[in-house]
Amino acid sequence: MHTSIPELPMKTMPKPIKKHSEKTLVLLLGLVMLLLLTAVFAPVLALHDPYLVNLPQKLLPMSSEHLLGTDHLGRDIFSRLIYGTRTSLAIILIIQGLIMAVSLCVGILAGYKGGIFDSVLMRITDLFLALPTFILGLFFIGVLGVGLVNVIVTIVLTHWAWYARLVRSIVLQIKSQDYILCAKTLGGSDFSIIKRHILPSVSAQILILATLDFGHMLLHVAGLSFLGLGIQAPTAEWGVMINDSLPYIYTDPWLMIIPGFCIFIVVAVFNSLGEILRDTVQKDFYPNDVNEFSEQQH
Amino acid sequence: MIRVNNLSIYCGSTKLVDNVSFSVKKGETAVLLGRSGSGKSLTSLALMQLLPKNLHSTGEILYSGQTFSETMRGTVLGMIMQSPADCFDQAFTIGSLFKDIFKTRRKKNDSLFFEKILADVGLENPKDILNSYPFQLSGGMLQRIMIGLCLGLRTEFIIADEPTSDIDCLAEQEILSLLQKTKNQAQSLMIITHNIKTACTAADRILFMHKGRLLDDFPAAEVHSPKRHPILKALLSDNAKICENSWGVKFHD
Repeated sequence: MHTSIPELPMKTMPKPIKKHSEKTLVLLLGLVMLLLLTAVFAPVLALHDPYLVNLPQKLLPMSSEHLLGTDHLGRDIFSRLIYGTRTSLAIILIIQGLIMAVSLCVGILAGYKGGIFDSVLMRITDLFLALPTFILGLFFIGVLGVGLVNVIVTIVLTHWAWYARLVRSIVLQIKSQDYILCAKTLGGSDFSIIKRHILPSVSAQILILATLDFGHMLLHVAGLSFLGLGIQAPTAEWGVMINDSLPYIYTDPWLMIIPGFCIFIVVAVFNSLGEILRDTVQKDFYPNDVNEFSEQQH
Repeated sequence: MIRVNNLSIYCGSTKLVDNVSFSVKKGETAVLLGRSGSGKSLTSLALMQLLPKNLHSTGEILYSGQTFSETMRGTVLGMIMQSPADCFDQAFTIGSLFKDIFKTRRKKNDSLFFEKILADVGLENPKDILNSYPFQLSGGMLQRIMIGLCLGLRTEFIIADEPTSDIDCLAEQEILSLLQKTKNQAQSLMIITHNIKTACTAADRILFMHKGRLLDDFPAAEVHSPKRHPILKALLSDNAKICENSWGVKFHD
């Protein structure tokens, strides 16, 4: 008697990985490079002093002299956007660097040592994770006060816990591998095992998360600046520019639209780049037939 | 060299290894023999003080009369693990791993020294091997590299956990003869195995474990003595039936 093998129901198949073309990756990397170069060469690219107040020339439309017009204080918008790129990228990079440093220390200590270290550190992490990020951010700003440094401290304090949790879970996975046990049997110290075997793997995955989170951080910084709780005027920063343009939203909406569009572009670029990196890394953990299934679908 | 007194290992209140006592002298090869799940590997991890965190042990283990310290691993104690393919970090070359191990132990950090280690365990093209990643090498090669590492570290006591389980029975003889090099360096060796033939071939003394208890401890030459524990006798006779060469043929390589 012939019996046919029943087909596997579609819903049990793993979700197919979306394929990203190389052109998309090249485009995104090109845009990131453009942003970085803009930030680095801001003094060269900016046509005017972004902080020079010139009231007789306030609220001018786009022209050959002022490519994007001027704001309510007569400052060149294009120049402030260029310098804003520098400010925003620098702040985000500092924030991400500090978050990674704190979360790596906490996560590795909790995951590797375990025991009382794990219990105490994870309870502290839970405390930070229990509250909504923005509410917690407002609380810290209220306690610390406004300003650039306090914005950095606030965002680090509100975001490190997510990363620490991820680091800890990765460390727990790696720690259970046989090669870690083997390294211990051959006399490897805890420090050398962490430095050589754990840190590289953890850092790679955290970097992907950091890339995915770049846009979110930017929105956070810009959001606090927009509320007047973060970076203060006259600093050339996109959130500050949006905050400054609030009284002119009906008469000169481009004052708000232009920096908002810059934020949109940067967030979209880094989100897309982070997704590609994440999908590329995750592809290694899926069997080949899943990728073939993806090809059939597309 | 190693003396174990009343070692018991618990998982919560469940006793996994019950009151095991034995000693291994300097230069001696002892085989810890037993079926799967008899507690051999747990005993070996207890000797290395590397039991999983959910287990705890009682009893006393003395290393040449001294209690354990972390610095003993890699100097006094060495271990050859069961699955060599999983024992190397795939992200680094063999040479890089050698440098790291010997650097922390303050041994010679010399590529010629590493090549000699690999040559001594019968590996050809040691230079190529040092530049290779673990996933590029076979399980047998990785097993030899592990043995070479332990021999190179010149630890006083080596534990080999199922060193021949992942390889064929002909290559097994080569691995066992490599392990016997420990005698030349006056190192003590403890082989953990469920293979009776390996035990009879390699051991000076056999320690037989069953269900977490040490039932018998005897010189290898006395394996067929009537004084052997009944469970061991049953195991030996079952093994003899399975391995009986009823065709009367011999393998020619």
